[in-house]
Amino acid sequence: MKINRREFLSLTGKSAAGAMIFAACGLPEKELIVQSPVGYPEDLVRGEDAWYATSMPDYTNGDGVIVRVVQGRATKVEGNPDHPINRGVATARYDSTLQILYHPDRIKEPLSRYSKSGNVINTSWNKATNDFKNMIRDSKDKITIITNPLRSHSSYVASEFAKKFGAKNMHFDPINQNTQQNTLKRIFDLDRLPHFDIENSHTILSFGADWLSTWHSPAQYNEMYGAFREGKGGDRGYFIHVDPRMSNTAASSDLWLSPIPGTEGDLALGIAHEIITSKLVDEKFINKYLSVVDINLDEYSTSIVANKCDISEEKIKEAAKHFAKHTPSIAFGGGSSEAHTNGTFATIAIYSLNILTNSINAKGGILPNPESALPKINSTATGNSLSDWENEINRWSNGEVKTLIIRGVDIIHGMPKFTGIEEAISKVENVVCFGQVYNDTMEYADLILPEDTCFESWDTNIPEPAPGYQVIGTQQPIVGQTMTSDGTGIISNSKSFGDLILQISKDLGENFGNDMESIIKNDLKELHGNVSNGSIISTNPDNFTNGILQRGGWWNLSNKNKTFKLSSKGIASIKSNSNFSSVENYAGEDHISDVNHHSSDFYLAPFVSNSILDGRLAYAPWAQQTPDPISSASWSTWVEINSRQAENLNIREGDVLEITSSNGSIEALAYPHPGIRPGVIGVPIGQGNKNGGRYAEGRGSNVLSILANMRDSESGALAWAATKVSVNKTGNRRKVPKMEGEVEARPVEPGVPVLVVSPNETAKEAQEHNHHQYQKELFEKKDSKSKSDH
Amino acid sequence: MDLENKHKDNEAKSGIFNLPKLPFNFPKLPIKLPKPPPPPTHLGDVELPKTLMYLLPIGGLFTLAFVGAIASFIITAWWGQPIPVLGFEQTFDQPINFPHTVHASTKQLDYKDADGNVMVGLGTDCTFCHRTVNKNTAAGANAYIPPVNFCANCHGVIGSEDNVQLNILRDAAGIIGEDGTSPINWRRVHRLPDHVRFVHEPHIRYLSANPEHIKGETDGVTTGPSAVCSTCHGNVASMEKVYQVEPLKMRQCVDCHRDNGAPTDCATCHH
Amino acid sequence: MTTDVEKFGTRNWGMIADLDKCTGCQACVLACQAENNIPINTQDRVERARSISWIRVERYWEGDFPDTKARFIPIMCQHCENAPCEPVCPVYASYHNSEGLNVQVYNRCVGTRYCANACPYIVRFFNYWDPVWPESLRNHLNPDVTIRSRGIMEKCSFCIQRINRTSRKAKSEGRELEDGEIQTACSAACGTHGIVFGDLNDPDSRVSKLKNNKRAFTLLEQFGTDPNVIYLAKVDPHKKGSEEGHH
Repeated sequence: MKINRREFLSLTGKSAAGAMIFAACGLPEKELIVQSPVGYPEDLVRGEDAWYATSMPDYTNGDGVIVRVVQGRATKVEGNPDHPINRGVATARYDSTLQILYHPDRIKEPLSRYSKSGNVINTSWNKATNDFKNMIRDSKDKITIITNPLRSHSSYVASEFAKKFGAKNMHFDPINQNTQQNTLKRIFDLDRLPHFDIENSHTILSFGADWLSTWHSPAQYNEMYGAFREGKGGDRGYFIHVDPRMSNTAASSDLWLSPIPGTEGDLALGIAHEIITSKLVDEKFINKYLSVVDINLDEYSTSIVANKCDISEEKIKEAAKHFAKHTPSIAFGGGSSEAHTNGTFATIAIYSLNILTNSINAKGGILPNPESALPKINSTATGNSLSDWENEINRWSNGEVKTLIIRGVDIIHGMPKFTGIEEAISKVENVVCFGQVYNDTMEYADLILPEDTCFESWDTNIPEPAPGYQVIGTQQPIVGQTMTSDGTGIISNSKSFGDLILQISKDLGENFGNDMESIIKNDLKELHGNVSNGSIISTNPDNFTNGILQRGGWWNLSNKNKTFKLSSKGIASIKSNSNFSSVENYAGEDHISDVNHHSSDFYLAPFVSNSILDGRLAYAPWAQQTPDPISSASWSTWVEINSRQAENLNIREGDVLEITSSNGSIEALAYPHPGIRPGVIGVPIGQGNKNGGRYAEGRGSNVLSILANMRDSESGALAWAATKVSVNKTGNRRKVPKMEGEVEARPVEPGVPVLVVSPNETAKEAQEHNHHQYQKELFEKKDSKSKSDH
Repeated sequence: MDLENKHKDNEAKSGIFNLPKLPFNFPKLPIKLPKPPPPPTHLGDVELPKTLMYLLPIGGLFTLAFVGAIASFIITAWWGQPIPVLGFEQTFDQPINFPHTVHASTKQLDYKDADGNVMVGLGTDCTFCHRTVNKNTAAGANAYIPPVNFCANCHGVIGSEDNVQLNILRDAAGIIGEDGTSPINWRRVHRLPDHVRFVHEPHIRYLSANPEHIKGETDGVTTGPSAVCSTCHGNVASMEKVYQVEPLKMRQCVDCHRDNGAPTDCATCHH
Repeated sequence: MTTDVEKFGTRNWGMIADLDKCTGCQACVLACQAENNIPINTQDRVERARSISWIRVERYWEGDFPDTKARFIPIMCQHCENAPCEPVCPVYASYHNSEGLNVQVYNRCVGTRYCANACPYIVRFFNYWDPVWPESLRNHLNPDVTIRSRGIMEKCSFCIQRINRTSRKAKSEGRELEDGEIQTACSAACGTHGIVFGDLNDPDSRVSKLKNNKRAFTLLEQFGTDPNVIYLAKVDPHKKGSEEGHH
């Protein structure tokens, strides 16, 4: 028992002598121990206050981070000011990764399961490695290795392993970007995601993508958004966002358009039609656009589109005017707009808007990204499409796969249930799982190997999208094997995925590297021979490598060798396809989006959580407790529903709702608010883990599990935003754990506390105006009241 | 007549509130007690009570002394350190008997080396081992103990192979033994009160620049950062086992800060 | 002889939060939590409305669908020059120092909670429970910040440990502090560089310049608390200017 002075004060009231003796001899053993570890990592590389530059590819788009290490323990993660991706800024997820590193339920030792239905038992690394080797030896050409989409040395090791052992290398991402990647390849001939030059843009028109919180590279986009808002020369940028649900990206926009889900493509063509008919841009660009998008635009006149999307004509006209006139402007989209059965159509319609404003390959528009600076590593990675996965899962069921190696993904949690993955995976003879915390996939694993976090292992990362030039981010171990804080034991006897695969391959006679550290350092030395300029210039390859590791990466601002051209081939093939004209659009044919509509039918709009992502960070208590930007809810799964419609349906906040699709049902707490289209419900992704340690286990529900079997007709990607559900009250009611209401709101009069000004107004003027307005209304109310009283 | 009216009646009679009459009678006071027996006239006949008569005052004095001891213990503990009795020592047996004399002193020691020669202290600077102490880092907040590997740099070679104490270190560093490396858990000697954020670096910097404010003496080197440590830590170079010399309570801190024009804002130390 | 304290008391720390740049992303909230050893706000604590967040992002709704607008504002201790929390404290645990900080001295606090009642911004938090971290999570605690025990108030300190550390560093290197050298956890994390921290007494600092921006206002100005946190108003191009309003 530790007694501090405060408690001493309270104890003296009871018994002075007793308290003092407690205070004097109650010093806990722990307090008195000063541990002297074998070596301090601070001694290896010296830095001010021991901040190490590294990166976290599993949780970010290779953002550069600096981590504060005190006495061998990582205590704080911040953005690396030097790194060109995030330029020093952070997201709401950086620090949560520390809690994965120090998670109280981290897997300590390798675990092994002897029969499919049995429990796991602790085993030694020696035995686990031998078992793993035997599995690979016995199942040559019948191996599948699954990782998250990575552009790093880990992915190089995984693909090399696949080549050497005849294995199939798959990538899994629950919220995949196949449609967008396919479309960009088709119409712009781009092999990788382009750079959106938000910083220099004056108008942004974005569709679906929640790019300020989770989409692609949020830290990079946020940083550029700050500059966009400030505007060059005081010309504040104008931001239009299209999304049926108000995400925090939509909340930051100046004009929010909320179409019926699935009509985003029509809206994009409607805006194009408005620009063309009102001749808002140069004739040259109109012709270019029409030559590429060769369809009858009359079908997308403003009034037709307004009706179809349920958006007022004025708003469409306003969006078109701003987009065309306030240039440079940029249009991009993804996320929920591409996750429909007509995703490719919508994505083409969205991105081709850039032709009208000449934003392709232009400052403030879309810029191409060069290829990777390291020849071994791809500059792009996407999850495999739903069709690929269905084939793969079939192979599992048919016994064509004997060994499955899974790293960095919780595929059982992330894959919709209709794929039958749970039955299929239990038919695979050997399932080997890497990870930090026991997750739902490990429930099916025969061998569970504790894996190093990004703070303990060597790796690299090629960010995608890159900022328009070549970037390599490096990841280095910044903490040693983690001791518990009293020094009595280790948190996890984990090993690096890359190192282990390399070692096992070597033992099986396929040597493609000794360990990650040496491969990475060699590759960086090779880079030194290949490049003449960049962020590190040194004559000595060793100094060059050390310089890169110290700064957390290497980048070459001058390298912009790749330009991109419009490929009419891609458009033509789509043109001939009947799907291009607005398709069997599942949405829009009935009017469930009417506020007064009493049906329980809704469009389900799942969204990636701002704090726990797709569930990757659900294990971390900080990520769990971070309030959602819109609902301020935490620790749970909630259902966002339009407040007026909820009133009509007699749904109140905290009602437990049952959401039923054709593939099952989940329960979640109602959270009505005015920022979502009637007829649409928003449900965050990431909760509903059956396992996952003390903070995630059994919490909320997994919306991914009930998605309908729908896919984009062109790319075969899962149409995760296309599920239709019915919503019913269960009769139960619980408190929504949320920050809102914890302190009383203070909007006693307009402008308090969030003062809003028009572009040419000063804060003082706005405040005075608000005050006058408030008093006027107050007196009018009083007058009418006193009149009615008499 | 109900109770209320009864009250009223009583009030009317006496003007004050009277209790209603009880249904039974108390014995009237003073109660007559039986007469006590007469005191014994011959004390010498009764042995035990006589002894008691002498013992009681002695016992009282003992009790007083005991309470006083505890009280003084509390007071000294409150103002300074507890008196080093009853296990409240300021020093402990450490996992390794590390003699600061051998490493830091510049004087002749009682030790004899392996060849039988009288040893003279090495006279190393404090910051040679406590490397972070004059650095402006979070680590510099504590003069923290060097890592095992650092000790092993020298002691892998220096010192007898039979030296039990050194072999504990060599085992921890993985030089001998087969169980790999392991940390050494030292016990903390100097401990500030709760809620204090103390950083060595500015103190060392200031006192180095203003040596007239240094208090205390040292057997160790008297130049560089080492010279100033004695102000708070005493003559560590002369200690076989380190113990806390100064109370290191707030009063001492504030006095010194005031004398030297350092900030006395609460937030300087408490945050 | 120059002393260490030559510069102490000549500064006036202040913060600018640009509401036009705030995207409500919560990066500041988490950065603050990690920096200042704020206990984990468990579901139980959140449901009882007793969670602690020194900085929070409040979201206000404006209008109804389809013209809904969400407005974000980060709210932390305003470090008022006329702080209502200071005179009510019976033990002087809440006081104003000469650098413009409203300081909470944890070891003086006896937990009367008067200050929390007096604060119009509701940024003071009471520790209803002892902070608990599982053994392994104690590794990531910041050694520079006191862990507050049950029964005392806590609030945003403008990351005083960072102010002290950076000032110390400048002194030991024998130079003046540069503007922007001190970053609080929230200003360092802010995704859009919307939070700026600096010395309001230095006329060349970024905060001083932004303070004179025409959009600058302080929260609940009518209370006369004179905060050291200054907000820049949110710009809405669709808002009708006041010149058309009542003139």
